[in-house]
Amino acid sequence: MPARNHKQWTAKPDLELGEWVDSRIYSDEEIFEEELEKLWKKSWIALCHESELPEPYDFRTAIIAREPIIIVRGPDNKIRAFLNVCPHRGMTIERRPSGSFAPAQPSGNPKHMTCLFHAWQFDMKGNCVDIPRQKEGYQDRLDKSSQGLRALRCEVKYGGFVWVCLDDHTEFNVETWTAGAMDCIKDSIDAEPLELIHYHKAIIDCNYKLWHDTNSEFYHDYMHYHNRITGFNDEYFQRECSAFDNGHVNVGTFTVNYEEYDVAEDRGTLSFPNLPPDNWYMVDMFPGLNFNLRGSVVRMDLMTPLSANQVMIEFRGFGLKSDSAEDRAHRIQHHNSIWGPLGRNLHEDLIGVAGQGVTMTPKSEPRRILHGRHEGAYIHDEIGMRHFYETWGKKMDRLPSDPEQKYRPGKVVGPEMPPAKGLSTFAGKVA
Amino acid sequence: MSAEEQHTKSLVRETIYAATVYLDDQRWNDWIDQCDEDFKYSVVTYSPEVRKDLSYLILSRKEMHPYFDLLPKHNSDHSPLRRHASIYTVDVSADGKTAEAVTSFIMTQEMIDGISAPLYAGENRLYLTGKYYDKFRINGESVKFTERVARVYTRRFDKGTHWVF
Amino acid sequence: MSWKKVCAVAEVPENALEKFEIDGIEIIIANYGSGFRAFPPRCPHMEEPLCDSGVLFDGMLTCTKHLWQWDMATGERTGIAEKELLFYDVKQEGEDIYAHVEQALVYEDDDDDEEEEDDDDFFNAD
Repeated sequence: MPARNHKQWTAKPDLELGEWVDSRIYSDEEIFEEELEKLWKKSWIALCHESELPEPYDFRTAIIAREPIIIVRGPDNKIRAFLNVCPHRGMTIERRPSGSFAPAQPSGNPKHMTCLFHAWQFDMKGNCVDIPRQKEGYQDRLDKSSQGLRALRCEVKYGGFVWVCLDDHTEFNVETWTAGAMDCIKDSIDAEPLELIHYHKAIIDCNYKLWHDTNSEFYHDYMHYHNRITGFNDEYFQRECSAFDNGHVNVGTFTVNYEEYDVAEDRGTLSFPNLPPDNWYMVDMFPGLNFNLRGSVVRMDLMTPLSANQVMIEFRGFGLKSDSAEDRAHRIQHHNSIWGPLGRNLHEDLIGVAGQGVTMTPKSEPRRILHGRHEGAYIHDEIGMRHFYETWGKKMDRLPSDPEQKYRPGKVVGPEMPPAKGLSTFAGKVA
Repeated sequence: MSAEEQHTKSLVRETIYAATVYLDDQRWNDWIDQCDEDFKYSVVTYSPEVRKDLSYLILSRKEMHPYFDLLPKHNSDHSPLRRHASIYTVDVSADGKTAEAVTSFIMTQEMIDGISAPLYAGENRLYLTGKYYDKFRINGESVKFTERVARVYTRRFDKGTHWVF
Repeated sequence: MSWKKVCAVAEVPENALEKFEIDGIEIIIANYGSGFRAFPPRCPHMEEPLCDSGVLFDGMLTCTKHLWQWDMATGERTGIAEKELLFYDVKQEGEDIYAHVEQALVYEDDDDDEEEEDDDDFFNAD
């Protein structure tokens, strides 16, 4: 097919509304600011896992939409979240990424969080318990009883993840927000406590939604040699995508052909409760989280959008708290061989979105981004993105294919069709 | 220190620096040849973010050939990763049959194609710092790695890499 | 009264605050120059470990977090301190320090543990 001139290149694609988006949704700075307000500050975000703050007085810090957050476990073992902002003059109360408030700090007492600046001190419930020389400075005009921390809605849910919502008046709790998207994995991750076994992060110069799109589709398995060689069989194509309220999607299970991976040990034996060995589920949670339950490990990606063209992605991996040292080592190895910082697949996925980020910087000429694959909602269908942008469009009141227009619905679901037949796989040596 | 111990230490240092050259030049098979049958390679870090020791990669000698042979099949950032290594300590056992060394290293990446060639190609940027904790088996003039633990001081890898540290 | 030997005088030089354990009870011995005092290890204000954050000088004990002070000779609080320090009886006999330690002295906890509101009530309140 011939190359195109400018007019042909920028023409509306020969697809229906809803089957493509305008790249300005990935690059426009005004749209980005709106997303922080309308999406990130209104959604339930899983910021970390309870195993990152296992003891009373442990804490973990995080960020949502520029709001610095501190998550603490109280002496009553309950996990609470607050803005990590001192009510006095806006200092960051706790600078460390994680730790314990049990011991004393240079400016603070044991079992309290203390702002180092003027030693205003708070307990694990957010009460302000001490303002040095309060009477002398404030007389009767201001008392510590009115200087408590800004508490945030916080729930520990679905495998021990700590979810926070910045919207006090949200109509949702975590269960109703996730709207059933977690049902396919909840029995496996709720059966017994999980334990974090992997953590690393990346900051990529691309819009957060591009990483979420990659996590929502599997057509990109073409970039992974081993996936192509060993995975595109009949079972692979029978994996189906389901859409849920609030913009979430999940993808059903299949048996990954791990035995043909040269350097992988047999993954058939290590699994999770209520999950047949080698089964697989992926949950893409609006606006930017991903849970991935494979045979031997739970992976969780959390996105923190930094600008229209920059995202921080935190990669976590989980096993069971009850794992033996040997089982834990196996899970870590299985996770890292694919998704670790030196893993086979993750680097390829990341250079994919990094490359997209290059072509869609703020004020780049808009591109047409095609989300038009219909395959009966089976694995190479692009319904994951279409469903996400349908919700995105409604919440932002912007048309994804022309964000200067108000939202109107387009095509999400394609015609019914059976799953595709498998492509050749190589039963013999792969090299 | 006896002359023999001094000589052994010298051989160990040469082995470490030769390995560094092989790895910089991606001469994986030359590096594998320096490793004994029971060699184990691992990349580890301590993460204050989650207050845990983490392991990012473990390769046995057996797994190394397939791991490196597959590299051309992957989509990778081809920007070379190179090390500047300084050997800090070398200790030889009393019987002269084993040795351990601690080497500090800095990795930089000569940018080519990982992100945008027109913008970033030509830049040399810091990639990470770390220490190699190496163990060796000594057999006369032969020095072989039995273990390398690459302890890295980062949890942030951005676009990442397929190449060992 | 059964006196228990805590330590040697030489272990607590002038202006030192040293922590010891007697029968599972932690106790600080303070040498304020003209005598010794013995008290629980944590500040009555906010449980600050006094062997780390306390300073003894000129007969005055100061907790350096919020600068509460106690006169070691009289035993009384002074300055901005709002609570008294509790003391174990202490004596020097020869080269050793003895204290009367039967039960651990405990400061009253004036934390009122309020019942927590339902989340929706809390977050939707005015």
